[in-house]
Amino acid sequence: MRLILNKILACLLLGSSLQAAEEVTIYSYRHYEADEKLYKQFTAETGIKVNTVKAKADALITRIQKEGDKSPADLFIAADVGRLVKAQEEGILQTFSSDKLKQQVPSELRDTNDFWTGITVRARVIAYAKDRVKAGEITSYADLAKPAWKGRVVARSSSNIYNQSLLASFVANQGEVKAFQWAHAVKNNMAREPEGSDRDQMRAVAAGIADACIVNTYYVGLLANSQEEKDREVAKKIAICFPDQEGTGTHINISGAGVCKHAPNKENAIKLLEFLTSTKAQDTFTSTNYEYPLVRETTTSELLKSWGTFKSDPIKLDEIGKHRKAAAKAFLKAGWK
Amino acid sequence: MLPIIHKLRTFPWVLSLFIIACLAASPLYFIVKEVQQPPQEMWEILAEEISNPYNEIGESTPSPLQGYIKGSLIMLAGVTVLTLLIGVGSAWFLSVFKFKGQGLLSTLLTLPMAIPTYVMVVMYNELLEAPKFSLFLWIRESYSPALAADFAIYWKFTLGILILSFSFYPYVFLAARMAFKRQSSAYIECSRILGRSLSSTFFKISLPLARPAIIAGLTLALLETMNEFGAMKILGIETLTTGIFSAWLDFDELNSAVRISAIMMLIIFIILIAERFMRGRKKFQSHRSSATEFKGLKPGKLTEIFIWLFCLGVGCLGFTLPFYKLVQQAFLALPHRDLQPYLDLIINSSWLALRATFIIIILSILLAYTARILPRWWVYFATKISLLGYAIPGAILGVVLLSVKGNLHQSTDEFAQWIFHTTVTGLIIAYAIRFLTVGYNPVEAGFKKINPHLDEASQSLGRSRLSTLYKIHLPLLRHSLLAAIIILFVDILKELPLTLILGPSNNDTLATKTYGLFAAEERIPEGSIPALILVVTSLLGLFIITSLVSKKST
Repeated sequence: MRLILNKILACLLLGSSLQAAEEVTIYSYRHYEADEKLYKQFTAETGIKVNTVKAKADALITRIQKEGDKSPADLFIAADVGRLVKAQEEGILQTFSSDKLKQQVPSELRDTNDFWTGITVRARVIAYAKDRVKAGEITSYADLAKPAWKGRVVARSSSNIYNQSLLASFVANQGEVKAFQWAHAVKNNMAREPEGSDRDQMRAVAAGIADACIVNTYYVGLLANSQEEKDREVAKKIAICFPDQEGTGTHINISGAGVCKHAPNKENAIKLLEFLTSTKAQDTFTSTNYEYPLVRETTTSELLKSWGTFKSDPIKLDEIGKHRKAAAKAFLKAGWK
Repeated sequence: MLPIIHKLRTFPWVLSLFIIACLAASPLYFIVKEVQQPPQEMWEILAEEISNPYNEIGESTPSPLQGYIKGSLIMLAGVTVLTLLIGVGSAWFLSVFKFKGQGLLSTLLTLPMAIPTYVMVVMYNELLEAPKFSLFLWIRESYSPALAADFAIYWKFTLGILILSFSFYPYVFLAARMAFKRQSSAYIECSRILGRSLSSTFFKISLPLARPAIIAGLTLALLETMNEFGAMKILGIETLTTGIFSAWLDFDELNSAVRISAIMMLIIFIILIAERFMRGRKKFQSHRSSATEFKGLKPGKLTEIFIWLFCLGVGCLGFTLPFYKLVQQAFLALPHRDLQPYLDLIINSSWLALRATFIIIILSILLAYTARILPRWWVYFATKISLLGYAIPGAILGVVLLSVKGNLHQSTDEFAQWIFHTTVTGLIIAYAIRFLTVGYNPVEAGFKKINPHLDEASQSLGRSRLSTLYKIHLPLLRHSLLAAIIILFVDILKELPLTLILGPSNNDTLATKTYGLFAAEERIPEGSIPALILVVTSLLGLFIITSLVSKKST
C-alpha cells in the first residue's frame, strides 16, 4: 500500500520532469488549426509531445524574457519576420544549424546568422474589382498612391503587422521619406478610414465601396473556400495582381521560428522545425491555409497554381525586420490610422 | 487592556486586507515607476500635433493621443446614456409592474451578458454589412465621396456605442433590479397613497434609493468600455486601449504604452471619484432587513404593450439577433468539424472560471466585511487600492504580472516554480486582481443594505465576527452573492488578454480558440463553433445558478 502511495506521489511530483525527455514546448503566435494538425502528426511520428502556448508575439517575447533561464520555451513561432528579428534583438533566441533545414529552406528565407528560419511564405498583393479595373490598370504598390485612385482604395489599419512589414520593405528599398510619401498619398486615396480585416477589405471591394485593396494571398484562398456562400461570391468578383513585377518584385513575408536561448529541448525543437519544413508538412500548410510553401514552385494547391508564378522582392528578410519601427513611425505621421 | 483585545480580534481581517491591497497595488507601483523614466522616441510623435513632418505637406492634424482620448470619451458618453436608459428603464418596468411573462422578460434581459463583446461585433458586422454598403454607396452617389467617408466614421461610432451598450447594460440592469426589488414596499405604497404619480415616485423615491447600486453597475459598464480592445479593433475605433496596444506592439515601446495607460487610469479615477460623489454621503438602509417586497401594480393595456415592446426590443438586439447569427454561422461549419476536442475546451474553460470565481467571492466578502467591522479611513483606503485591478488596462496588468511571475519562476524554490508554471495559479491570481471589483461591488452593496444593528445584536449575544458573518450576513447576502457569482463566472469565461498572456502551456479556452479563428484566420463560421459553445456554457451557468438560488429561497 505504502509503495503504491509513494509511486503515486512520485508520479505527481515528478510528472513534469518524467515527460521532459520527450517533449517540445512552443510559444506560438500562429493560432492556425493547420499547425495543430501538424503537431499531432509530429507526435504520432516521433513520440515527442508538443506543448503550446499561444498569444500575441510580443507578449510571448516578454514572457520568455521574464522567465529567463528557467523558461520552458523551446521554439518561438511568429507570423511575420519583424517579430522574429525583434526576438533576436531582445536576445531570447540562439543559433542553430541543421543540414536538413538548410536543404529545405531557401537561404533568403533564413536568417543570415541562423537565429531563425521561415516556415511558410505569404505574399502581400493587390486585390481589385474585376468588373471595374482592367487587368494591367494596376501593376504596382505605387499605383495606389496615384491621383487616379483617389477615393478608390480601402485598407486595413496601420497597426496591422503585414502592413507594417510592407512599409518596412519600402523603407529598406527606397528610404524613409519615400515610404512616408507613399503612405500619406495612399491614406488620401482611401474611400474610408481603415477598419476591419483583410477579408473585410475584399468584401468592400466586391461591394463597390472601393476598387482595390492590399491583402495577403492566403486570405483570398480562405475566402474562396469559405463555408459561407457570400464569401465565395466575393472571391469570384475580385482578381489579384502581384505588384512590382517590373520593379523590385512583390513583397513577401514569412511565418517563422527560432530556437529559444534557454530551450530545454533544443534537439526536439530542431526536429520539429525539420518536420514543419518538410515537403509533407508544407503541403498541409498550402492545402488547409493557402499559404505559399517555402519553395513556391512546389505548391500542389490548384488555387495557388492558378494565380501563376511571380517575382518576389529579393531583399533579405532581416533587413525588413530592422526597419519595422521606422515604418510604424511613417504610418503614424502619415495619419494612416 | 480592552482595546488590545479588540485589536487582536480584528487583526486577521486587517492582515488579509493588506495582503490583497499590496498584491493589487503592485501594478500601480510599476506604472508610477515607469512613468518617471524619460519618455521613449515615439512618445513625442504620439503626443504632439502632426505638422509638416517632411516640410512638404502643409497640414496639421490633432495628435494621435488626442484621437485616442476623443475616441474613449465618445464611447464613454454614449455608453453612459444608453446603459442607464436601457438598464434602469427595464429594471423599473419589471419591478413596479406585475404581469404575466415578467420572469421571462427578466431572464431575457440578462442574456446579452453571455455573448462576448468581440463575438457580438463580428456578428453585427455580418448582419449589417449589406445595408452599410448600400447606404455608403447611396450617399456617395447622391452627395459626395467625402460625405460617404464621414458616414463610415459615424456608422462605426454609432455601432460601437450600441454594441457596447447592449453588452454592458446588464450590469446596470442587474444592479437596479436587485435594488428596486429590495426596496421596501412601504416606500412606494406611501408615496402612492400620498398622491404621487408613478413616474414621480420613480424619480423622487425609488431612483434616489437605488442610486448607489445603479452607479456601481454603471461604473462597471464604463470600466469595461474603457478596457474594450477586440470590438474597438474590429470596428476601427481608436481609443486609449487600442493606443496602448499600438505603442506596445507596433512601436515596441512599453514605456509609451504605460504612459497612455496612466492617462487612461486618470480618466478612470475621475469616474471612480465621481461615483463616490454620486453615491453621496447618505446612507441607505431599509428599516427592516427582510422588508416586504413590493407586490407590483397591474399595468394598463397600453403600458403593458409598451413594456413588452421595450424589453423584447432590447432582448432581441442584445441577444436574440446576434445569437441567431452565431448559430447560423456555426452550423455552416459544423458538418465539417470533429466535435470531440470541444469537450475538453468546455471543461477546461468552465473549471478555470469556477475556481477563479470562488476565490474572488471569498476575497470580496473578506474585504467588504473588514470594512464593515472596522470603518476607519485606512481600511477604506486599502480597500480602494485592492479594487484598482479593474481600472488597470488588461494588457498592462498582464505585463506587470509577467514580471512577477518571471521573478517567481527565477527563484530556486522548486515548489513556487511548479505552482506558477505548470498550473493555472498565476492566471487565477491575475483574474482575482482584475475582477475583484466585479465581485466586490454587489457584495458591498448587499452589506450596506443590512442594518448594523443586526451586527450589534449578534455581537451582544456572544457570536464571534466570523460566526456573525456566516450565520447572519451570508444568508442575507444571498441575492447579492448570486449576482456577483453570475457576473464573475461569465466575465472570466469571456476573458481574453490575461488568459493569452499568462496561461500555462496547452491552456486553450473557448475564448482563446474563438479569438484564434476570428482574428488570426478570419474564418468566421469555424470560429463561431467555440463562440457558440462559450455562449451556451455561459447561459447554462446563468440558469443553473439562478435555479439553485431560487430553489433555496423558497
